[in-house]
Amino acid sequence: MSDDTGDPDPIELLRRANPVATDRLPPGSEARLRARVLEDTMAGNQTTVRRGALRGSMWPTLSGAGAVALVLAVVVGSGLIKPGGGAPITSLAPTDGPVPTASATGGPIGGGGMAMCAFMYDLDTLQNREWAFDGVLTAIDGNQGTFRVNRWFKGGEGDSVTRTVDGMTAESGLLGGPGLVVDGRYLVTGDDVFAWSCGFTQYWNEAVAADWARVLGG
Amino acid sequence: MTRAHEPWPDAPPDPRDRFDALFEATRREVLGYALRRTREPADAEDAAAETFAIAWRRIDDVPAGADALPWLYGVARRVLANQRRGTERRLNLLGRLFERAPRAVDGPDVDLGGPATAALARLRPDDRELLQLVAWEDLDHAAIAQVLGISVNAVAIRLHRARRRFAEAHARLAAEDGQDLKGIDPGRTSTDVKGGMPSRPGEERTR
Repeated sequence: MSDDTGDPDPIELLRRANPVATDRLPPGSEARLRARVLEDTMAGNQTTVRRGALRGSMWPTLSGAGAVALVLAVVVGSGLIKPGGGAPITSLAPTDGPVPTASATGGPIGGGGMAMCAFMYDLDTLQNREWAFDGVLTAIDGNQGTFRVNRWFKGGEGDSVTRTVDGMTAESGLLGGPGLVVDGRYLVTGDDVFAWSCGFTQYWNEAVAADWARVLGG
Repeated sequence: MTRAHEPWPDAPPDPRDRFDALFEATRREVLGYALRRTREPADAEDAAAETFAIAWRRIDDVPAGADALPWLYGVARRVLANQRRGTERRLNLLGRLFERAPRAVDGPDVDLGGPATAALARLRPDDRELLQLVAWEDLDHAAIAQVLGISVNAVAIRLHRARRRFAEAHARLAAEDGQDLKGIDPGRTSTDVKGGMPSRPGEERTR
């Protein structure tokens, strides 16, 4: 912008020099931020979790607040408290496919920390995820889970996919929730390379799968 | 060109829902704020994540509505300052291993790609942040006052001076580069600046 003298306005000059417009954020940054915030708030950690600290293990040390979260998780897992937020999670027990032992307890994968989850699963928030599928876990390598995909509801293609499943493996499930088990059939959703816990990844169930198909298509 | 910031929807009573709504409404703005002030996206993501971690811990302190975003910017500003100080401390410890001196603590942290950003880099940090909040975050004086923790009147005065210093720095840079100078008017208020200081009469014609 300039006036009739041709002199540019300082603010306008700076606007043109904006290095990162809000509507043009780098690919992946937003998804990584979402995953980080989810993990930070899930764990209920009261200290800063820096990127360096996350390397090797995406989970912070179980702090005092984490212990509180563990207590809450047990209460939630026992069914004494319905996780707040959206619609209740129902009918999570598997009815078909390979049955992992842990499924006997029901509940979402990594759901032990649900009481501290920032983003609770419901069909509305499900629609905000970038991808979703019905698949059978074929391998776990560290925090990477490989699935044989039965059906893509949204955002992917191919018969096999590997996703980061932090907080949902036996090793990383610090907060007491059930972990993913090889040969288990799951409904999995997330953003970028991250599968979300807190009910967004759960044991396959015909009724829930039908809900996913209804709201996500696929 | 004024961008309307999406207001945080009416605050839900449940803290978790409130945080969810806050994050959804402001994540891009907070991440953008951090990205514009760091060299590496990973640093920006760190700062934005820490900002929201603080918001989560202090969810009852986060103001509702349009005031939430300036509050978050204020937190992000302090987080980035701490991040720079931490980097500076580490660089000082390892200074002998570096061929060049570590970057100044309060130095510019954006890529200096053109004369405008180069001129910006020559300003004092307070002036720089003020101009960035106007030009890049598109905030009005009241919101800037909230971010910086100063009065609205102080914002107007400081912004007026910052614009003048920016214009001078820009002109000096152009002269150093031997470019054909095209003056800029520090006092003229862009029509896109909300609540900007008025121009001084005649100033534009005297240059």
